[in-house]
Amino acid sequence: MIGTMIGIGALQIVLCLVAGPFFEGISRKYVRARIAHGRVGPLTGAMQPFWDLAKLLGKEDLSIGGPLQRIAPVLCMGAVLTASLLIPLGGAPPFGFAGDFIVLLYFLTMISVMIVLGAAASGTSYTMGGALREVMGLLIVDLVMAVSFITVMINTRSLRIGDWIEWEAAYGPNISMILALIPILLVMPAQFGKVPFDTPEAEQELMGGPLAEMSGPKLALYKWAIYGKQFVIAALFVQVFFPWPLTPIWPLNLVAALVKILIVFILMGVVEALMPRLRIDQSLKYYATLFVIGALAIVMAYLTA
Amino acid sequence: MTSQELMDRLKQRFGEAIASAREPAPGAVYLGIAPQAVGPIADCVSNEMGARFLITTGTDERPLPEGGFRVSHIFSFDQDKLFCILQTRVNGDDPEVDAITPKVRGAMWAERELFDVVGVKSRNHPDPRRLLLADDWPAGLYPLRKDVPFDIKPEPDFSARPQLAEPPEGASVLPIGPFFPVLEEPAYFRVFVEGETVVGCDYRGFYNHRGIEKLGDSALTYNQVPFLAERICGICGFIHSTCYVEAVEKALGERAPRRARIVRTLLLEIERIHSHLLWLGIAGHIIGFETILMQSWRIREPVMWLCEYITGHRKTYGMNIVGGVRKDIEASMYQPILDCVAKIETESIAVVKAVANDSSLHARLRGAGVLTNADAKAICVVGPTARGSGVAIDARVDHPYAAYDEIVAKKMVHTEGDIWARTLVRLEELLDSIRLVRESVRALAAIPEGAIANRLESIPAGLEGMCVVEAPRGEAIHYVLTGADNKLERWRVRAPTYPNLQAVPVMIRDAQVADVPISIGSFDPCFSCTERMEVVDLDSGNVKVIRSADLIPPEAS
Repeated sequence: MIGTMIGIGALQIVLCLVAGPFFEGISRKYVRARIAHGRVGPLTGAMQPFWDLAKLLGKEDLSIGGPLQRIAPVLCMGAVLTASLLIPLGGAPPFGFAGDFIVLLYFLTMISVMIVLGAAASGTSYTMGGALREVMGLLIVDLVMAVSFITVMINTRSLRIGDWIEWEAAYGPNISMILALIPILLVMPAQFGKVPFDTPEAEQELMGGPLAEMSGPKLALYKWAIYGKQFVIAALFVQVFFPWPLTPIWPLNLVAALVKILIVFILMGVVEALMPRLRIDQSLKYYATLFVIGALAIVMAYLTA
Repeated sequence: MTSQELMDRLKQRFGEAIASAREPAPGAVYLGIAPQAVGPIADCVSNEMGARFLITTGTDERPLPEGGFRVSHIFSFDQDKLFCILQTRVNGDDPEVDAITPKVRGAMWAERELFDVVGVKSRNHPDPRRLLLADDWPAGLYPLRKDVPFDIKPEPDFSARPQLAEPPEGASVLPIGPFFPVLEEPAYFRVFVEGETVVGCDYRGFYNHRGIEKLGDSALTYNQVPFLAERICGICGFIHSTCYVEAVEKALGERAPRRARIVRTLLLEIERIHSHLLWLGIAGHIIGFETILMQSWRIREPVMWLCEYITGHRKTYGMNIVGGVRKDIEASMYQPILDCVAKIETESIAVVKAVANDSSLHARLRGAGVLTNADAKAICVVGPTARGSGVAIDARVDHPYAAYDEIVAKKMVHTEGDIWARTLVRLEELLDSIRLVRESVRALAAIPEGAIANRLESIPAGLEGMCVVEAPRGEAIHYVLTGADNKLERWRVRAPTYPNLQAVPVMIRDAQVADVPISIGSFDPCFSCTERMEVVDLDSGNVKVIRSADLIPPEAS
């Protein structure tokens, strides 16, 4: 039993590290380059993010901050890998326990906090500006996501992610669940750090914001951690709100989950291709609207429960 | 108002202060005025009679019989299709003349530059800092004086720093430049911010001096200059060479053959099409909309092939000579040109429709980077930046050159003054340019193939001429004074970005940081055109290799 858990856990970590960049590569090559831009795109196809990471890992590491700047990317990656143990892929999360969602939320927040810390330790005006924007986003984007999941908690009367999946698969989506999935889906580009909500990085305004002073392996770790975060968030979303087909056959569930996650990545690629970057005040207004929808879902959940 | 009325009115008003008035070629009135009258006359011309300030030119005429320095303030009466050039002469090694900037705000940079290059000081100038020369250029060395050789190389001084304004209390500095992802060329905007809000801005640019004017009026002959003029800008090179040759032709009082003028018009409009598509892509890139960048540049590419088909080159055509063009467009080329523009038109209309109806673009561009009509007039901005703020100027209509007297362009004017208005102006001009290319081809087809250039053997000294050409970003101005030995005595170039850049502090005041890059991008800045002047001091031979250790502060490693 413990052996299976560790095996599945290890597999989830590997999937998070590999599938994240790979799905991003697919979206980048086939959605962004081929369809939206009308160009050939990277010749390595969907593997380009791996080449990018390999190249960055092999580069000289220039450091301008202190030890904090050096350790923040590592902690960021650590938070992503830990979070990947708590997501449901083939079924309930391998290390699921009562309240595992709270821990997952903590680690997801940790990722942004580590980006902010690394930026603050670099201490130039671009990184500080980017860190400021990241904090503004962090305060409300994670809140919007949490509010959506509160509706799920009320419906399922549980804090365990495994219970949520079983409940959704068994009792199907009710009106409050459908309402709750709207904000979390619409805030997804922000969680992915993509246009129209990539204001913290915004290379045309802040030269990469929090990552402006990161180079070589540090930058690679951050980039990889962000791919991983995208995978974790997408997995959590599709499995909680669309757990079907939930069969007894574990590998089949896993494959279905990966397909669903890929669809989310492609969707994010489409949004990225169709929108300009919004200003921070515009995106904050947008998040606030989503927050209201999420709050409505909570009310609805109470009324129907 | 005709030129005669203008001369009469000014003579009546200022009497003796106006020593001479002449109109060597129709459309340009040269007034010789007394130095002490410069301020009042400029004030009257600009603020009472409504002329628009264009540029100031300083000429070192000490080797010439008249002697001294000539300062020319160039104004334009756009409705009357008339230029008014106020010229005064000052003497001595440290000459001074009253500044007109306190009355004519648009002259701010022109007068700073006047001191930098010929050493004529403007008295009571509100901001007499160095504008154009490198920070380590020796004080008192004025490169456009005739006793300074064109290949001078002063000793570099790496400790020199620009004099830049300090941020106001409580604000911090967000440096945009000297190298920044969305500025294709070096320019340093020192933006003062409080949180996400911009509270002020200072500018240091002119990092791209190439000594072009000096080279043109010291080392080159009349027909070599067009090659150099074409290299002023990598986007609107043909505009500069056209502007130069038309200025020389105006000085001579002679027009190029009609066929040559139509060929020029056609190429100018092709250049506008490619430039506006290029701008649209860059604007999309600045606000993170990469799809617009990729699609509009894809549409633009056949325009470059068309240029290559017509002239043999994608960009620097080498077509213009004084008196005409080098190559004709043959009858067999008409159909391929029309086919190419037809394809560009279909695709452009699709992009224009998609852009015009995109609500997220409205959210980003409407109400951002606003330049009011009053500010636009005071700062004397040009091109789509002016037309987006309701200033109806377009050199193609106001001061026709090439064949724009018969192939008439439409003025596209919007009044909102925001980035969206500038975008609409450009999109409408893009489609209008396609129409003008068609009309040019039709006009070429209607006349028989024949002379395309009047070959000129020698050009007399002492003639003055000027021309404005509507580049995609606004009007370019070239002023020439012919000299002895079949060479230019003075060649003055003003690129359209020069006045537009001066509007940046107004545009980004109280804006969000996110709006700064697109506001700067919205007037399509072209830094190397603006900074055409001065000798490069980079090739000192002292190569310093910077290693990582030099970049890391000691306490961090």
